[in-house]
Order: sequence, then C-alpha cells, then structure tokens
Amino acid sequence: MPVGVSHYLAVSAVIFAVGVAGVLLRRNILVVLMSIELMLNAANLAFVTFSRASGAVGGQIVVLFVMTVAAAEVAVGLAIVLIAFRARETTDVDEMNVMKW
Amino acid sequence: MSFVSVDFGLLVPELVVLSAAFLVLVVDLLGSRQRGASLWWLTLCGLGLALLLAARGWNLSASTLSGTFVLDPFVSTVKLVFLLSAFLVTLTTLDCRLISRLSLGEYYSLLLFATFGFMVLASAGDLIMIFIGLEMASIPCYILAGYAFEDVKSNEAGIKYFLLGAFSSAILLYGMSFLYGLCGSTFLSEIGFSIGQSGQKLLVMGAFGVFLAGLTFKMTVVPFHMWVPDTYEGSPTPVAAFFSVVSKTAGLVVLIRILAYFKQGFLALEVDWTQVLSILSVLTMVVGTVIGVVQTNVKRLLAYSSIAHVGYLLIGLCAGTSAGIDSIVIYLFVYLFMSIGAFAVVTAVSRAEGGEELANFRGLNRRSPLLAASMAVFLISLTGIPPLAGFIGKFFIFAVAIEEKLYTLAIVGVLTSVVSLFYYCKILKAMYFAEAEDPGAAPVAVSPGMRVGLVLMSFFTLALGLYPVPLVEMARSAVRLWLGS
Repeated sequence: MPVGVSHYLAVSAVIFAVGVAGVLLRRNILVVLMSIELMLNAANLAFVTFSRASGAVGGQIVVLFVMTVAAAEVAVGLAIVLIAFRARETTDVDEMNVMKW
Repeated sequence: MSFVSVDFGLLVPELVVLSAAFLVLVVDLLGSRQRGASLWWLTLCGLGLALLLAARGWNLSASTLSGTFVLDPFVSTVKLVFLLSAFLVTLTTLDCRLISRLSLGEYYSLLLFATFGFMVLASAGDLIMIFIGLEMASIPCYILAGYAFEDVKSNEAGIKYFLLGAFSSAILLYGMSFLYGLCGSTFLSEIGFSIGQSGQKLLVMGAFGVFLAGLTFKMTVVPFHMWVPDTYEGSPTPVAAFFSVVSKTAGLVVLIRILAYFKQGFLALEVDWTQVLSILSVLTMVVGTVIGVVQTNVKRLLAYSSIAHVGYLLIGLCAGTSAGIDSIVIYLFVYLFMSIGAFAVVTAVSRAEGGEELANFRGLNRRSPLLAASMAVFLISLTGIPPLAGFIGKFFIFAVAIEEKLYTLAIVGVLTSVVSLFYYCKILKAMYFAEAEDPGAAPVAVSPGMRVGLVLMSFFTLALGLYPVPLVEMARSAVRLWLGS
C-alpha cells in the first residue's frame, strides 16, 4: 500500500489531537508547553503535505516561519514559567489560582 | 531571477514604530540614570510621528511585498486606532504602581513592538503574514502581561495569557493549513476565489471553523474568554488598557477582512457564517454583562465590560453590510477613548491606594473631584447614555441591526446595556456617595502625562458624543473606498 496524502494528514490529525488533549488534560506547565509544540508541528506536517501534493511551495515557506516563531514563543514561555517556579516552587497549572472568577 | 520589489513608502508608519522600538532599547542601554523621561518622550514622539504619517497616507489603496502587505483606507483607519491607543497608554503609563519601579526601556520597546505586530497583522494579505503579524504582536504581549514579574498576580496573568494565546495560535495555524490545502495558495484573495470552486462545502466549513475558533480566542469572544478576566486583573493596568482595545480590534479586523475576501467563495458554497456569529455575539454580550455584575474588583469588572463590548462589535459584523462595518469603525474610535480612559483612572487610584477593589474608590469625589468626574464620564459613556460618545457608537450598531432585521441581537444588546448600567453604577456610587475609609486621605497624586491623557480622553468622549459628524464621515468614506461601493 503506497503512503499517500491521506496518511500524512491522518498522522497530522493524530498529533494535533494528542496536543490538544495534552493541553486540556495535563497539569504540568512544561508538558502543556510541549503539547502546544506538538499542535504547531501537526499543522506544519499538514502544510508540507499539502504543499507537496499541490506543488505550490507556499506551504513549505509557512513551515520555516512557524518553526522560527515557535522557537521565539518557547523562549518567552519558559522565561515566564521560570519566574513562576521561583515564586511558587511548582509547575502545576492548578496552583496558579490567585485569581478566580 | 528577480528580487521582490518593496515599496517602502507604504510601510513608513510601521517602520517608524519599529525604529522607535529599537531606538528606545539603545537609548536605554547607553543613557544615564535619568533616562526614564527621555524614553517616555521618545516613545510618544515615535507614536505621534507614525500617527501623522498613517493619517497622511490614509486614502492610499495599494499592496506591496508581492501582495502580502495590503494597504487600504479601512486598514489605515484601524492603524490609527492602534497608534492612538498606544499613544494614550504611554501617556498614562508612568502612574502605574507595578511598572514605575521597574526598568522602563524594555516596557516601552515591547509596547512598540506589539503595536508594530498588530499593524502588520491588520495589513496582512496572506496567511503567512497573518500568522507572523499575530505572533509579532502576541509574544511582546505575553511579556507585557507578566511584566511586573515580582508581583504574583502579574506573573500568573502572563502564564495564563501565554498558555491560552499559544494554544489558540496553534489552533489557528491548523485551520490555516487546511485552508491552504483546499486552495493551494496562501494568498487571501486566491483562497477566497478558489474555495468557491472547490465544491467541498464540509471541508471548507471545517477548516474555516477551526480558524475562526483560534481567532475568537484573540477577540475574547465567549466561550473562548476564560483567560481575559485573569489576564486583565493581573497585568499592569496600562497594559490591560492596551489589550482591551488593541488586541480585540486586531482580531476583529482580521475577521472582517477575511470575510470580505471570502465572501464570493462562501456565497458560491452557500455557507453562511451570520448565524454562528450572531450566536457568539449574544453569548458574549450576555456572559460579559451577567458575570460582570458580581465583580468587586474594578479592573476585573472592566475586563468583563470589555468582553461585552466585543459582543456589540460583533453585531456590526453580523449585519454583513458596509453600513455594519461603518458602525464598527465608529464604535472602535469611541470605545478607544472611554476604555483606555477608565483604565487610566484605575491606574491612578491603584497607585494611591495599592489596589483596585471597589472599596479603593470610596469617597474619590471628596479626594480628587476631577479624577472622579472623568471616571464618571467614561463609565456613563461605556453604558451608552446620551450625550456621550458611547451612545453614538451603540446607536449606529443597533440602527444597523434593526435595518438588517437582526431584532434578537438589537434587543439583547439594549437589555445588556441596561444591565451594565447597574455595575457601572456600583463604581459611581462608591466614588460619589460612599464615605472614604480614611476621611483625611490626601488627593490622588497624578503625573502631568496622566493629566494630559485624561483631559484628552474626556474631551473626545464628550466631543464625539456632541458632534460625531466628522468621525461618521471618515468611517463611511474609509469603508466605501475600501469596498469600492
């Protein structure tokens, strides 16, 4: 069975779903961050697949930009998490509850 | 092989903001200990210059960077909203309790970088530019929300904003990937053309639905609003003021422009988003208002009020006509002055009192009558009572709704406005009729920048209410030139 567009898209959808589930279910901020990265990479995979299938290079250019942006985003995110960890000695999202309702 | 030709003339306001951001960073590094004031002036000058240049090239319609950067009167008008907001926020920054003790260089440059990102986002002509603009704006915003890092609340605001912001960006990107896959192009105009031909109604709806979900996070539309109250309450107050106007406007503008690009395609597929948008609008108005009623923290209350105002703005979009977009532009200008104004008063009071609870506003009229009076102007305007500007904004929105027979939306809008009067009145009552906890408290000290800012914003809130003609004319001609009708 040849591996085609639909297979790549299925993998991408599974990765995206794993990412969303991770963000919604896991309580450790670092794991949540990694899950967001998974979601971004799922989108990247879809972009590359579509680009390859249609022959238009636009999608591959998007991926380069997304990787750059993701790196910048993680740098900022880890800095914010680090400060939170210093103040609270925890990386549990549920502990971030000074403000409610 | 030829390089892409760039018409830098169209990018001038953006480039001015960007250079100001870098200049602020450099001056902050090289300057002496007294550099705080010079950075403040530099930021104001940069934003003021960009404002003038953007206003001068207001009626240009062109695109550059091979069509990824689009300029038209509508986009230029929105950029005026961004620049004006950033200018007013900078004016009122120095009174902030949380920021004044920290290094201001990074603060101003981050504010300028974020403004730059939002301006690029508004001008985006393809998916890549939308994503990059969004991230160039969002990443500085995450840092700004958590800027007072020694403050537990500010840090928490930063974390919540970052996690949900990044999550929504990823959702948006996934939606984009399928839009790209269906149409084979990243350009909005080409996508708009080819979704009509694709004939795959379900896939187009799914892809655009995911994209819309990511975008509504940024616009703080219910049910994707959970992060808003926490982020606004925890962030330094001027930053919250910036978010309350600029980031919402940016999301809304992207949606307006995309719907305009995709209009023909959606018509061909017989896909109609009006129903979805109407439901979101009603939810947003109702939730923003009802949960706002029980708040005791003024900043949090204003956060819920800003959610409700997004609901009103969505009514204009549901109308789907150019008159609807006119009313949105009018509302944005009006909302800018009253929202940033209200947050500015909170900034001043919170520095004197060390908090933003309702109790901190008690007896404000006795202590600082002018501060209390300007807060009253902003709050009454936010409610939408004539003759203040807020009434004009709501009048045009509701008029369009009735014209387009969106009676449910108009009725819900009017009812929630009435309910919102209740929670704005809580603040008014505390300021005017409650005794201060400490009757001998000194007047609230206000910096000159804050004074100028408050005068300007109260003036415009009054003036646009009494004489809205120029604003209405500008909004109409901008939208007409853009849509070419």
